[in-house]
Amino acid sequence: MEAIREMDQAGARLILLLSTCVPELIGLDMESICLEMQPEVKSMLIHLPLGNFKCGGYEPGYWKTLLAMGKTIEKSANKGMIVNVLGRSALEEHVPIPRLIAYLKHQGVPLRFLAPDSSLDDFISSGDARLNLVLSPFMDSLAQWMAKEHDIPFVSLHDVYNVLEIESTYSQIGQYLDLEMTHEFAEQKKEGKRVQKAAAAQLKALQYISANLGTVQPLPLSAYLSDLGMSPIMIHMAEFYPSDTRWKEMLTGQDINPIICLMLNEQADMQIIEELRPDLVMGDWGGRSRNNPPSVPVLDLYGHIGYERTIDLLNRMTRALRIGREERANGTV
Amino acid sequence: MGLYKTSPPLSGRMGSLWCLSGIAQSAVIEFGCMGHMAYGRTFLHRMGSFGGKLYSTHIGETDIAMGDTSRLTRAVEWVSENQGIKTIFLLPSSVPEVIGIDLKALAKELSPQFPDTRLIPLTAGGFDVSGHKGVEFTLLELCKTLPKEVHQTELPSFNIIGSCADMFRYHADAAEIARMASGALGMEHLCTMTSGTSISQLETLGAAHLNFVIRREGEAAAKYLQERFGTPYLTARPYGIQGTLDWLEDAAAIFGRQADKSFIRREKENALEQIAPMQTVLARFLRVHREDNRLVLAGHADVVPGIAEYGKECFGFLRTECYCDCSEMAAKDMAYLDESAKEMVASDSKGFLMGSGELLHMAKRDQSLQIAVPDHIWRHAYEPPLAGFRGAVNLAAVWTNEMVRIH
Repeated sequence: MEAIREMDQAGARLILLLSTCVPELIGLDMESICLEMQPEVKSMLIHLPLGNFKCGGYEPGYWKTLLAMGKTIEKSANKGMIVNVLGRSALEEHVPIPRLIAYLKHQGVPLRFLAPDSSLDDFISSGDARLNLVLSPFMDSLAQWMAKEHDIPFVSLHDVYNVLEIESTYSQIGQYLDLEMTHEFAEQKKEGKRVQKAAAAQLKALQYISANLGTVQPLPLSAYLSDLGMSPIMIHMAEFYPSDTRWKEMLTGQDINPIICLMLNEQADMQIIEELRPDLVMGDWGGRSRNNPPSVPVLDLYGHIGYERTIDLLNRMTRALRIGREERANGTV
Repeated sequence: MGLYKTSPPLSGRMGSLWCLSGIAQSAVIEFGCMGHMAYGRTFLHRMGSFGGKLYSTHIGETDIAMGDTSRLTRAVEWVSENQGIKTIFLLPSSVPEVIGIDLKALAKELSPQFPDTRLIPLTAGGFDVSGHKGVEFTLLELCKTLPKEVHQTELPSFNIIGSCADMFRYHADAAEIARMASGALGMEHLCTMTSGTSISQLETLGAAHLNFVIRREGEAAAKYLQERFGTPYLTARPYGIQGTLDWLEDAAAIFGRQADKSFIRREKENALEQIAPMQTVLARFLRVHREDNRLVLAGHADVVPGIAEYGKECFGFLRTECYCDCSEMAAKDMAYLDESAKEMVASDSKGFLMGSGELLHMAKRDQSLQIAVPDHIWRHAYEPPLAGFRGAVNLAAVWTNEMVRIH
């Protein structure tokens, strides 16, 4: 409480109170502390229960924190022209700007980027947006909450891989924003269809392991790979996101029920992966530098969406498969 | 307790990890939430400590509610059987400490299942043990559990006790101390507790003729070794030319032999040759710029007085102020560097300041003046030392370059 007072006096507008293992374990009622202290301080107090024994990894910390930031959003009866982009910072340079976002910018659609780098004011004012575009699984819960509390519809882009679904998602965005986008993306769609068809022919009936995908949500990717005829042997899931229920039902509905695991020990995991003998490993794992089984790098696909991501991913998969086959045929150096 | 704006005091658990992470042929299994160890491991690697394998069992809500410790059993089994590591340190973290998991009893219970594996429980993970006490406790525990009954080596030999990951430039200082002991006293270096060492080396601790204790937390371990093996010890850190000469003289006296005078003369001359031109300009600068003739040092209580003395004696620093990073070690002439002292020291722009990376950052000073942790920089074993003859040259250069920056 002393710390809260000190931070308040120093001018903090928002104080996030993160309770870690010990306060969580001894049952410290941080919620009541917030309620008791709120009238006394100017800062907004938000409690975040984040005991590590309740969480699998850092992922829940991300989405729960971002969801909690939703409490700062002010109600706005009038929706303006702004579109919130959830999961990308305006300052971000290391991830190329998705073509869809670049197009919206070019069309003069005012964009507000909401991500950990954004300012508190961006979050506070984000209730006036007419649409939320979700680029990261960390933002799913916040988008759903904003739809419920602030009547802002959202379109999720990070979990859409299939070319036809990308087309319908873009068309949905076009309808929300009164934009005709078909022509703009026609070439990309054509290329996507071609690559997807060719990849499906090569990838059909192959078995894979979904290892560490970083911030890419595993189940939507697995659902897409199942569309291509591939089957997962094992999927590493650092977090079961609230939105994963839908993807789980989609997969189990097709009788796809792989081992779900938490890979945290690279040496031990490598042994298991090798023994399972998959045709491909998606993402990062201890044998990433080998070509048998071939690995498909996925970590750097964070923030990528749309046709370009699907084309890139499928090209990576077929290339990894080809190199693996060549190596098996020719021997390794 | 209010708001900590800088690094808070470290726990006994970290003290244990500083000691254990440098020991090859061993593993540390922490029974607790994995986040602690995931960050801890990166932190230790950043400090250049790579010897032991570091694992966490993780712990879930069910384990806590049901008091289930099977994760620990499975982890011990995997490390022992799959990794072939036969010395495993069991470390608790905050959650098992709160729920009262008896790690000692668990180790006893597990031991018959793993007859060829030595399970050593370390219980400094609680809230009542500071980082420095954790180091003391762990060094002592290592001396109690690992050394075998061995005869003294035929040729004279020594151990270094207290070189752990929390001491800035610990690899380099230990290497310089070993170089001087070998050169001046003709002794063989057996083991460094605990940087860059191994279980096999620790098992031979009792074979040494002399133990060099380079921090006060190692004294309990040295006393234990003296009682058990009769090994004498010297507790001191050599700083500056005179400080190093005194240290060698004390070591020779305890060892009961004459030091190699030609080695010492050569080392001294080599160091002075390099120091002399810097001494000329820096001493002159300090005489002229009285407002900057001040050396403020903040770090481990066994580090700062030696450096202060060297600064005074060799370069003419008139005012020296020492702060230590452990409240239990504070003395009349050495205050504890608490939050307010950090702010006060950092806000004073006059003179020469040496301290942790964090303090130097707060003070907007150059990081080359670092003599303590924490910091956020990746460290390695090949950095120059602060101790010994070579350390004296290095310190002279650091101060002289700071003089160039000041003016």
